[in-house]
Amino acid sequence: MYRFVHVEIRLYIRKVAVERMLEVNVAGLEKATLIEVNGRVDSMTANQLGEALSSPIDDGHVNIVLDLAGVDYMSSAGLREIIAALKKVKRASGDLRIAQPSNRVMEVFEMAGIDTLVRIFATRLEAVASY
Amino acid sequence: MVHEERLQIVAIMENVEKACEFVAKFARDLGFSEEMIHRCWISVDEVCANVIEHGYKENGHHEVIDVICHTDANLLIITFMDDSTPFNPLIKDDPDPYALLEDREVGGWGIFFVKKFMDNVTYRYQNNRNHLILEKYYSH
Repeated sequence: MYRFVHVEIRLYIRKVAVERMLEVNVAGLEKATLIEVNGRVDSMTANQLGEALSSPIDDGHVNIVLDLAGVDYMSSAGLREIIAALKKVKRASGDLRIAQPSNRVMEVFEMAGIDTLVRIFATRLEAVASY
Repeated sequence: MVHEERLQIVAIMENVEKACEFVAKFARDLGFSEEMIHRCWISVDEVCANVIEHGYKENGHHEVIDVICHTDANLLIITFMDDSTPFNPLIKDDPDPYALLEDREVGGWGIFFVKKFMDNVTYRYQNNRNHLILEKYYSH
């Protein structure tokens, strides 16, 4: 199961946005859409995260894994995009799950209680396999 | 000895990072740990973004934010001054981290983070300007 998912990720990752500081890769998997973000999610770049989340959701892909291994900084602007996306997928009977947040990102998640709303996984494979 | 440095930025999102870097350098020179510098960075990011978005309503190309860093004993004091409509961001109730998703607004966490990351945050309106003052204790 894990090996299959791994192959899928390697084959189908496509780069959708490289804009200033944030790099976003999206992979359409069998049961979920994997969105991998790299960079600092702040007041300048949060809209890119919002667009990356909205795009598959608006296309009907409402089971999302957001991989934050490459994010070492997130301000409230990033949280706003995550909460907005979470509301959107829940309304469509989907879910948004988060993989590999750094300690610093986890700190702001805990302060805002995001960890009580979202399932958070130590690895992206666990997050993908949870669907 | 009082040590003070000042920075003025045009009030657009593209300049927020400059304010963050300015405060981070000041804090680093005082011997702040990387973790404390990170907390200062987020706080500056949140305050400036709040002024630009809500104070100047993202129309601040001809407006400024002044940032002043100074020390008093073992206290780092960061003062932000802007010319937008008088508004005390501290009077708003804190968002509830335990609220259910359906009861939540999507935003509203910025000033809450500032209050959590700093030791003291105060507001005053003086000389026709908003002043938001952040204080963080440090050890020499």
